[in-house]
Formats: sequence, C-alpha cells, structure tokens
Amino acid sequence: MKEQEKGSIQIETSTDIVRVRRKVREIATTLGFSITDVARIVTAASELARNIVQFAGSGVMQWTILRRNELIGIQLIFVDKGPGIPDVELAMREGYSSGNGLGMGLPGVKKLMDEMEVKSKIGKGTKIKIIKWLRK
Amino acid sequence: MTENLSIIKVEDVLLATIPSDPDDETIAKLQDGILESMKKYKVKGVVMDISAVETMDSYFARAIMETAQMVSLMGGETVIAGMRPSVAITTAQLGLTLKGVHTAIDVESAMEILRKGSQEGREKK
Amino acid sequence: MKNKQKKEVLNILKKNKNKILKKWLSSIIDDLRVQDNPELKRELKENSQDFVDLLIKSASSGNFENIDAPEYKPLISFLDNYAEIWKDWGFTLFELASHLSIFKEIWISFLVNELKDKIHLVPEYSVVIAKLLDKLTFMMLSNAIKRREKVIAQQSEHIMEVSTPTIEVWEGIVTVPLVGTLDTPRAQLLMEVLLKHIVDTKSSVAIIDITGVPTIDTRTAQHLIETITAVKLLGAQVILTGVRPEIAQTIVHLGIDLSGLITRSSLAAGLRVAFDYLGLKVVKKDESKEEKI
Repeated sequence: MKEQEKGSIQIETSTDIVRVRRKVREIATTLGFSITDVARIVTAASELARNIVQFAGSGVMQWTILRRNELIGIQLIFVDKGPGIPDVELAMREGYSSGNGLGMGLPGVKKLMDEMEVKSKIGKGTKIKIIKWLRK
Repeated sequence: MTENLSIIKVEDVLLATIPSDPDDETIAKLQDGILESMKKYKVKGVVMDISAVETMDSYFARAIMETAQMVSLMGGETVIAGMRPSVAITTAQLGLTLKGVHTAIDVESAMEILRKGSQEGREKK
Repeated sequence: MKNKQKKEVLNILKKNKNKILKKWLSSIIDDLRVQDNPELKRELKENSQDFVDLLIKSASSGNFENIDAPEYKPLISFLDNYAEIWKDWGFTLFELASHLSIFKEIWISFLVNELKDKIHLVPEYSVVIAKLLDKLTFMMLSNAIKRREKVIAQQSEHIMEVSTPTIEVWEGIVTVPLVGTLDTPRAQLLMEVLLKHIVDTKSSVAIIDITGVPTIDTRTAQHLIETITAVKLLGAQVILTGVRPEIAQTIVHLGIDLSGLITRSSLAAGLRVAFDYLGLKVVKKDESKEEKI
C-alpha cells in the first residue's frame, strides 16, 4: 500500500485543532522524529491552527512529507482568507514577556521549527509555511 | 467530546487527571469542574496530573494559569504534577513560564507540597 | 552513438585487455609504497583485473552514459570498496582518481592505435570513453566523501554526548558541570539529557555549573534560560553557578524575568544551597569518640 505523502485538513472549529494535532503527531512519529521534536512540531501546528480559528474564522492546513536527497522533513502550510497580519515583522519579533495571551505566538513557533515563512496581505489572507527536518 | 478527565477528592486536596490530548471542551470542563469542587469540598488546593499530556500549546498553558489564579482567589493552591520532559522543553521554548503555578515531579510530591503549604519558602516561579 | 560503434569501442578494450592492464599497473608499480610489498602488488593486480572485467560487463549492455542504471551497480560497488582499500593502503583519493585517469588515457591510446585507418572516428570515440570514466571517477569520489562526512557527524555526536554529563551528586541533587562552548546543538542535547535524568531520578534540585564556559552568544544564553525554565516546569529547583561577568551581561541584556533564579559563584556554594533546600546538613564527625580496639 502506497503511503500518503501529502494531504490537507480544513480548519474551522476547535475540534479541527485537535484533528490537526492528531494528524501531525501521526506523521511526525511515523517519520521517526524524536519525542521532543514531535512535541515541538505538534505544538507549533496547534498554535497556527488556533490562530486560524481565532483570527480568520476558517482556513486549511496542507501537509507534505519532504524528501531531498537523504533528508526527510515535514512541511505544514497554514492558509486562510482572514484579515491578514498588519505588520509581519512586528509579529515575528521576539517579545520579552511571553505567554501573556497577546499576539499570535509566531516567535515561539519559529523557535520550535527549523524554517518558517510568513506571507500576509491585509484583507486578503495569510499563508504560513513551517518545516522541520529529521535529524539523523 | 470530553476525554477521560477526572476530578476526585483525595484527603483534603483535589486530584484532577488530565487526558493526553484534551480538546478545548475538555479544558473548559476542567476549569468548571475544579471550581465547582472547590466550592463543594473544603480542600487545600488542586493537584493537576498532566503526566499523560503529550502536547501543551499556549491555550492550554493559559488555561492552567487562569485556573490556578481562580483557585488562588478561592483560597487554595495549585500544583502541576508530572510534566513530561518533551512538554517542558516545548513549553519553555514557546516562552511560557507558567508563572505563579507550583510544579512537582509527580503526584506524590505534589500532595506533599500542598500538605506542607508554602511556608517553607518553596518559591513559586 | 550507434550500438555498432559502441561495440567497437568496447572490443578495443576486450581485445587489448592484458596489454592495457600491464601498462596500467606499470604506472603505479614504481611507487615507493608498492615496490617492496609483494602482497600489495598482488592485490593491485587482482583489483585492476576485476575493475576491467566489471567495466566490460557493465558496458556490454550498450549503456555508456547512465551509470545510475542497474547494470553499473556491481562496478560502482566495487569502486566504493576499492576506495576504502586504497585508504587502508595509505593512498589518497586524489591518487585513486589519478590512477583511474591513467586507465582512461591508456584505453584511448590503444583506441588511437587500432583506428589508424579510421582516424576521423577517434575524437568521437575518445570522448565517449572519457565521459564514462570521468563519471565513474566522480561517483567514486562523491560516495567516498559522503562516507567520510557520515563518520565525522557520528563522531561529533559522540563528542557532544560525552561532554554533557549529568551527575547525581546526592540523592535528589543532579549537577551538570559544563565545559567549553555551549552551542545550539549542545544546548538542546543538554536540555533533553538533564530533563530525562531529573525525571528518572526524581531529583528536586539541579545545579548547572558554567564555570568552564568562557562566553555564550545571545542565542545560547536563550537556550540556557529555556533549559532552566523547563527544569522548573518539572518541579525541580535550579541553581546556576559559576556565572562569569560576560555571561551575566549577556543574560541580563535578554531582559528576561530572572526572579526565582538562584545563582552562586561556585559549584560548592551551589551545593550548600541545594543541601539547605533539601533540609540536609553536613556535620563533622565527633572527634572525641575513638574506636577502642
């Protein structure tokens, strides 16, 4: 049976956030990421999925297993047609006090993953791509 | 769907056992359940057993902090017990310190902390 | 290039195999390392023969271009092994690449000889030979380098593990004496190792001693603070010892809330705090009591 190398999950309700976590956990664990890295990836996905529910109302997560030569990675892209992020640079800046409930937690997500790319346009939507590579 | 969340009274403390991947509904029920039980029984505080929890995002962390604050307002103490290393690392990297919440390595130690109270100067983070 | 022509190129090799081998070996036999070593001479002769035989076999398929194809697998395997044997003999990869290059030249020289009456074919034919041998040489070098890099990576990991010890100095007290630079991969390893140790031993105090760490950059300081936060989340108390002025500056400039972080100038002082925290006291043995034998 050929294994799935990519897929997507619609995100609209908090139940979908759990679905995202479950799916990402399944993929990351199957690929062989360490327990800690699985926790990192799942948490990052949970944060971004929650942002969609909270700020955009609805969106989608597209997941892909990356294979580059001998490297294996997991790529997650979160897309929504929400209001967009006014100042991406500001949102990505490392805040001194964290976990106070403000903002989107993007700096935290960046720390958990290896690569992160944010594209956003006011009134059009947001696209956030995160990648983590398997460390041999 | 509320997964296997349980809140029971053990001696004079509440022991809340949290499932591995609680959804928002479960977390809400956790908060409500703890506050109601605090009202019903005369307990010193709450031990939240998170040894089964595999993921903690900022929402969950905030919920815990809020619950601890509410318990404190009702005159009790909260101790989080059994955080997994992978969860601790991820939470720390996210920049969440769970300030104002006691933590313990397991439920037994957590009970000890509540029993002795915080007069021994065991620092809150 | 037509199949008939490819066959012709290969036939030149087949027909002159022994002469080519003899000439090829003579190019290396004068090397000091081979001269008084009959065993090495014999191995070189055998391996050279195997190389040519495998090359003929692979090229007989008619495929002179694609060395990733299955018909070239035995030859590539042989070359990978040969590269390692050469290393064991004390030769360099450069020397092996040069050796293969000499074979290429010899084959082409025999080709020129055989095609005396069809000289116009020589350029095209020699290019085919050159391309094939070059590809094989590059593949051999590339695989050898990949193997070396893998070894280096494994060694680096081993070094990291060995230099990140966690020691349970007393029941409930774990210490981590760090020495050297604390870079990101090491800091991450430290976090995982330390936390696992705390959970396994149910320690209540962790002393992280950084006396032996000269400087750390902002990123690493952040990792250190994250480690301390993670340990506290497990319910253990952290004592940071041996903080040098430069590091103190870096940490303060991060602007993190440092309340609740206990620090001491030395590991010994930190140990004293740890004992106190656990409600333990170190007392001198009563000197007045003596054992009467």
